[in-house]
Amino acid sequence: MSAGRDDFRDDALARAVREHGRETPGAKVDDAIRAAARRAVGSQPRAEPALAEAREPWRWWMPIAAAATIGAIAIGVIQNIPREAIDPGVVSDTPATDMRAREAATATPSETRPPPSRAEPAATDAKAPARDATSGGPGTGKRDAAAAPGTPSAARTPAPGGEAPRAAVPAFVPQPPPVLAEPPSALPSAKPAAPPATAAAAAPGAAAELEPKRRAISPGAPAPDSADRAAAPAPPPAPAQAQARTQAQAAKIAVPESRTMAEGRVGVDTREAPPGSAGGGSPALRDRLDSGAPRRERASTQTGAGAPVTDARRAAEAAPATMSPPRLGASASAAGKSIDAYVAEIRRHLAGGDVESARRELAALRSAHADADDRLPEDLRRWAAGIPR
Amino acid sequence: MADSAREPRDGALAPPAPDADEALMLAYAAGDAAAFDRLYARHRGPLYRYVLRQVRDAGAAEELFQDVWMNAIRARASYAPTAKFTTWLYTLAHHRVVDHWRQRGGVALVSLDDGDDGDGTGALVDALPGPRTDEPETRVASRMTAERVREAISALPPAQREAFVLHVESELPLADIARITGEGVETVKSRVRYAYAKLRSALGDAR
Repeated sequence: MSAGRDDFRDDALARAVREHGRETPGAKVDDAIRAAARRAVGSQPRAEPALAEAREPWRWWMPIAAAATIGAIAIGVIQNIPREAIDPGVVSDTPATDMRAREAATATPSETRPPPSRAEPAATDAKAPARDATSGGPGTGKRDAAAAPGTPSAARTPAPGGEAPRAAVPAFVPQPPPVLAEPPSALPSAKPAAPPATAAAAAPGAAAELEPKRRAISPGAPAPDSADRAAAPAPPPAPAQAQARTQAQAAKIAVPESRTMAEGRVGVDTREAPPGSAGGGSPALRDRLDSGAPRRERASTQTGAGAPVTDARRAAEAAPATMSPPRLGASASAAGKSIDAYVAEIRRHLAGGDVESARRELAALRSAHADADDRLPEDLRRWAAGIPR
Repeated sequence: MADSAREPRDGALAPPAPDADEALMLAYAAGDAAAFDRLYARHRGPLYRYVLRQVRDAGAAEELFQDVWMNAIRARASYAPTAKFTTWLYTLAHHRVVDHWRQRGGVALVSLDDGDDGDGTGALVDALPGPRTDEPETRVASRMTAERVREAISALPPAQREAFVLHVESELPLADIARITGEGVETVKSRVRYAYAKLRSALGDAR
């Protein structure tokens, strides 16, 4: 539209009309129309979007809160899981007798192989001695090796029949002589069979080991002197059960010295395992149990004297109930020897002038109880204070 | 207002600006109630005055005004920006006013222009009474009052009044008025010219 065609326009009149035309609809009409418009599109009044924005944070922190709640519950559940279920090898403050009682409740009468789940760690048990050695506990192999450099070289000799890997483990090898004479608590549980006579002759310390076991089996029997023990070959055949038992002990003693020493050290762990519970105890014990059975068979077939030895061992293992008392006594603490018993043994040895045996008992007591010195009577505590761990 | 600035070309408009009436109406059709609120605030006054000038009764004007907006709300889904929103809205209002007069006794907004449209009704204009020109000096002596303006507009013939109100109060270009009323642009232009002439004579110095 050109300006010429709009020449009828009168701006003053138009302005006057606009200025005086101020009529507007009523507020009710406005509200009705706006409400109808909102209803038509199904939206909320104007204030609603602001409310929705105020609620918007819920949309993102609700999942976070849910995740935090789940995490807290998971942590709580993990905290309540028994520690034994998490790591069977964790050392507990619970007295050994309590642990033995618990484990004895799960033990089967006959010797059974541990379940696969527990045998798995035993397969890698070559690391266990190193773990023990580095743990710094009393009587560890390293410390003993340093304290007793004059250990017989036979102790480091690998056992025949594939025992080299075991004897080669440094943590087991340096076992001092006192440990050899330590009450062989671990011996009854797993020992490879070997020809009694030849083994005893081959291993200089084997005869010495026989005596503690014999004394353990027959506590009242007098101990022969060390010279006799060192020179003693395998015990002569005895009739009936005593003979079988003796043969079994001889077969155990015939283990190469290195292995015996290692087991003597590991015997600390064995004491914590219930008799007949092959799956219990430390991984080292389980490993020994796992590898011991075939070794027994090998030794029997090699020497040809396996039949009576294995029979005796089977008899001993098949009837743990009947064999338990002597084994408990023989191991001095293998199955729940109380502190009082240790104290009595120590007193008896001290009274008899056998200080070395008393020291061994003290060592065994210390191995079985971390707070052994504190639980000793005052006089023995002073005596034990002079004996290094 | 530039008449050709927002003229549709080839039946379609350029993409509307975000704040344009067309964009707001499309947004409302998509569910944005706030867009309707802006549209309503922008057009409520002129549209109401347009209806009020036609029916000259506030109650009836509010009723018609509400009906117009309801129709717009109902027709939101079919709205297409092929023309300006104001054209579409005032077309709804025009139709509603025509319906109102028809319901009130068959009154039609016949043109009473000066015969430029060739329909022979120009002679009627001269027969109609003028807008009380006999008292303009006394009534606009101290300045024209709003009442006099309203009366002057109300005294206009309906077609002239509608074209004048749309052109002056609603500020619509002649082309849009022609679309709304269904008349030719020249007809609308004549009506506006006559309305101006009568108001000048009616208001006189009151402007």
